Amino acid sequence: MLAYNKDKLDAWMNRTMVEEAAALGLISETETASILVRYPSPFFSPKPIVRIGLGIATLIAVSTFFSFILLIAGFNMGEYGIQFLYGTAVFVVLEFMIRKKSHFRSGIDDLLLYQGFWFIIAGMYWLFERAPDPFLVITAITTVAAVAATIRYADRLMAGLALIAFIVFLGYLLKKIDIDLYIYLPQFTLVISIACWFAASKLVKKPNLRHYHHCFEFLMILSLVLAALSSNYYVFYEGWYSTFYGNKLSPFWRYFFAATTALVPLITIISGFLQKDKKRIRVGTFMVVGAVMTFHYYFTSTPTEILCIVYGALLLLISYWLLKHHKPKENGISFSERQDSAALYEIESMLIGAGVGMITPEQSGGRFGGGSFGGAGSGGNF
Amino acid sequence: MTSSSFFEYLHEQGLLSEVSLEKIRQKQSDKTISLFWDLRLVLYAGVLLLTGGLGVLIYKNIDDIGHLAIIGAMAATSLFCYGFALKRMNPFSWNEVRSPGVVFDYVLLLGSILMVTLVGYVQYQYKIFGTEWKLATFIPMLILFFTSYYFDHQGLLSMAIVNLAAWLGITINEKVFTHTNQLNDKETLVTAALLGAALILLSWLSRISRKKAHFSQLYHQFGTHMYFISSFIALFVFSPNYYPWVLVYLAGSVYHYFKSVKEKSYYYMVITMIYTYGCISFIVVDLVDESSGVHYDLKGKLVFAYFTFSSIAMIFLLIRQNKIFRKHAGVQ
Repeated sequence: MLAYNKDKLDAWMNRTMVEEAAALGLISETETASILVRYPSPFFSPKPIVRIGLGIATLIAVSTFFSFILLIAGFNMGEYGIQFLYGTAVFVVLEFMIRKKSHFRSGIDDLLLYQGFWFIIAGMYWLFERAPDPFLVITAITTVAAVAATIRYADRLMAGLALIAFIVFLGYLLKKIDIDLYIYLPQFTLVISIACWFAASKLVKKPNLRHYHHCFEFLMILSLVLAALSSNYYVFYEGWYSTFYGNKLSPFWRYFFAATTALVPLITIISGFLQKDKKRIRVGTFMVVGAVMTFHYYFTSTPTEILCIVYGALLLLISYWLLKHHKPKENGISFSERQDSAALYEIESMLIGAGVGMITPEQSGGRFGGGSFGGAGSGGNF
Repeated sequence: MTSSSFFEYLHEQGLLSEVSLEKIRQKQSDKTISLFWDLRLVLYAGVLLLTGGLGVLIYKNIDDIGHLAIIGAMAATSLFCYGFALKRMNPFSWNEVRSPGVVFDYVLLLGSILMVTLVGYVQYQYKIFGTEWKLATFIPMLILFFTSYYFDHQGLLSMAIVNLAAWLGITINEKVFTHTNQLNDKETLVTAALLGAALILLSWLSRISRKKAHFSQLYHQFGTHMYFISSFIALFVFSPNYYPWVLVYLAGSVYHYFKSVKEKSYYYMVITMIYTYGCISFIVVDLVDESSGVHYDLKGKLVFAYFTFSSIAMIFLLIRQNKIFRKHAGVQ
């Protein structure tokens, strides 16, 4: 089922492990070089920056060639199922690049997959445009096609798309069955996200599914994000319920979402710390921020700038306390840096320059100008 | 084959020493996770929130708090931060000096942001530099350059470069990428391109003089992107007389190409190709657009044909260059 040769994938994974060990300074440069020479890469799988370059070029080539064909043939969009045919042709090229040219995460195969998929789904839309429920059909097709593409190409974005397309499909289905059921889509999303997280966390441990490991990892992160969004009171009420149903939320659901807003982030972050799971700690941190902001929105009238000062100071104090009193040996969490973080320092420095910017008075109007946020009042038109 | 058995296998093959294998075993048995970058992110968020909140608070309550109280509080906090940094810093050296810790980095950053804000505030309120508004950027810039070198802090260097650009009249932030009309003034474009070239020169000087040689990458990053972005926008702004800018642009491309080859840098190879492709595409589209006697429909076909075949050519070029680099690095 998998388009890529499994033995080659195993060899590639072994090479990746060696490169990671070398980046951490566990293996000497001489050893790394001799291992990499002995076990050459079975794929054309370049460095991320080359992958980005090749991806951009593929994006331009595939999309402009489609426009070129439309102009040459004098077709209009959708006529004769042109998108579907073009998408199929793109998949033929993708299979050729994988089988004959051994491309794997080269940027070319990634973009051929995404664009081929997009053209086929767009072609399907034109085909089913006149169906009684075109969106229901299209979202169902997208879900099935994305699952199939995930199985065939082991692509994490396709796995994520499958989950999102399924939730959207469910929304259309609920709407079709009974408009009152549609109201429960966030609750359904929460249940699906939690189920997906548990399923992915089980599947990620299966050795025979090792080539899909990154897809399950991605699904776990996406499930957490979806769970956070669908369980948040603000997102549910302001973004969903009040838009469709006005101000009629029952007390049960008020308390339910107030509880999930607080509990889902806490469970996520605490379980992350207990099980040493970085994904849960990271997503959980953002969830906690979202929960705090939600409660402040409804329960306090404290000005934003005061909250910024309080939370800014709190974050600095917590960080300082953690560094001062934390003992890595006791709980398995450390704040020591990895050896391969030089590039990250450079990115961080540039982010500081871009984020903090410069804070200087402008001659005209005498207001502080420059940076976008931070830097003591450079936000807005200060 | 599991990861540990593969490394055992490599050891049996004589490709991995006992010492390295032992290090790998230790790493695999060590279940400790590092939240180093997460903590830095939290500290960065803390500094941004605190300084941002303080700024808005001062702005809203400027008449109630009193100017001297604001200046006093900001100066005291900034001095405290600098004092903390002076106490904790490792001895100065022109070589790379390791930071004493993550708290040091962010306390210094907080102090510097407050210092820059303070100078701006004092100028806004009391006009200490009279009508010489640019001095309010120039002085913090000097302080930031000095502190970045003295404390060996790349974040401060980044702020110093942004202030240098601001002093020269260029605003560098996300708006440069989203609102390129910030750079539509001809004089600003020339300044930006010259500053880009100057930063590249500074990068080179840092490296050959071995004075904080590790800063050279940051200078180069800012220099490269400023040079190419300003040159690219200049093609539009100076149109139809943009040909001198093509030369400027391509000079940059040639320099960066040789740099990438010399250093076997994939990063510079890719960005050189992407930027150069942008320049060539601009010229081709302009030539097609300006050509008289060609039907509008045919112009469209020519442009799409150009983009299709040129992007395929770029794919081949990138793959070829990638292979050359790997061959030189001895990697198959």
